[in-house]
Amino acid sequence: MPERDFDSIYRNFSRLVYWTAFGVVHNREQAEDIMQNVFLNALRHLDTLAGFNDSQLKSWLYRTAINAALDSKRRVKHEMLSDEPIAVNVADATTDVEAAAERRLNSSTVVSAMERIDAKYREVLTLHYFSNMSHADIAEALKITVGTVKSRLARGRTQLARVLSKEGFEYDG
Amino acid sequence: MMDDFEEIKNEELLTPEEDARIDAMLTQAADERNAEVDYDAMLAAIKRKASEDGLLVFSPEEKRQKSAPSRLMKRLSHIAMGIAAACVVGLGVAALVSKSGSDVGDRTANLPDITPQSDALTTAEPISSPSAWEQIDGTEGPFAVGTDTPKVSGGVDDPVPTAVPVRFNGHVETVRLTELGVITQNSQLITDGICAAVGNYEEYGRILRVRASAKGGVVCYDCTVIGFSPYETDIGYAEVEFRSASSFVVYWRVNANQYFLIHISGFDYNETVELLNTFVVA
Repeated sequence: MPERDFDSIYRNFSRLVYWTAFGVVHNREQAEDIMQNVFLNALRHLDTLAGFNDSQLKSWLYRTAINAALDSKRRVKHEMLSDEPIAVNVADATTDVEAAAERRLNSSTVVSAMERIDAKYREVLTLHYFSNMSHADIAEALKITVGTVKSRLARGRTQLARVLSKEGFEYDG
Repeated sequence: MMDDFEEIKNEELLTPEEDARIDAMLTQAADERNAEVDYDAMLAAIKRKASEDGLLVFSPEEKRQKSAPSRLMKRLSHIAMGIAAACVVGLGVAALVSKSGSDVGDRTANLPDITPQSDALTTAEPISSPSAWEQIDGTEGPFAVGTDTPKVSGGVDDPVPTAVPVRFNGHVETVRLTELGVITQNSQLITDGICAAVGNYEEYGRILRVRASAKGGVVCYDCTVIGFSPYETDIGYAEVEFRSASSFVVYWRVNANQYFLIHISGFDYNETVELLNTFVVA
């Protein structure tokens, strides 16, 4: 398979691999290392992967990423921090910077709160929102029904809302 | 798609407005975070590493150099066709379980957080060695048994079953390999391609577990494909570890980079030998 096909695979599925890995290891550098290993592995097996349809390929990449992430996590032995510290330089703040900082704060709060919901709900939320996967693709990757994907998304959002609410975060507008 | 639909009670749900707000927050958080990930830089790093490892080749000469070991790998993978029979669930477990008069376990797909019984299974490498294109030198390792020539037949090109020695606690047992299908780098393909229609198994990540209640307890075997082994086994040969009187771990080298690992639990010695022989069809 020519290199451009690998580029296409990477463009289409790098988010899936990255956020799948991040969802397990909760560490950016580790997730990047895992993503590199997964795509190197994909390169080694391009002949096989070339025969896959999109759904099979997503499933393969998802499972390879999960396995690589679990192995990486076992090697590291300890849980890493769930998110990076929020860096906001108040002294340099302008309106734009403040707005950006607020968005960053919000996104960090959401990501942090996701760590406190059930894993099976976090998994589908990550795949849907962060990896841009459709309900059908998630169902294929996780070997569950589309209906279950939808129900887990709804429950995941509900749990997330409760966690945010407990922390005093305004989520209801 | 074997799961039960998970129903939601109305009282558990957010109001539409609340749900929309959470949805928007998640979307925004995902956009923010994805914007912080430099996917282009990572692609460049992957290509750089791939180039160092010889995975990206561009010239006709380089392509020829790469294609040769690739063909060799495919040819060697024929041996795995016999081993793939391990995942024909009905053959192995059904034979032994029916002898024990027991029922079989349930299939539960996608259970990512279990701890398999074998340490060897938990430490399995999902990513094959960077030396993926290197062929072993054929040197006989300390545990190798049988002839000097690794047995690599038994595939579609060679319908004659191939005797393969298995070192089994000091005893050499002989099992036979024949063609059955194609095994690939990960167990997902095994389960999807071979076992999907069989059922009666559980899947733990890359590990396929075939389980049954028998003899007052649970008997099972796990199988997976890993990229390393503690033993320097020749291709086509296997090494069996005793973990206890009823727990055996088989490292079966299928090619230069892959081992078919089987953890058999709950069966005694004779049953284990019998089970191993059902994996490969004479």
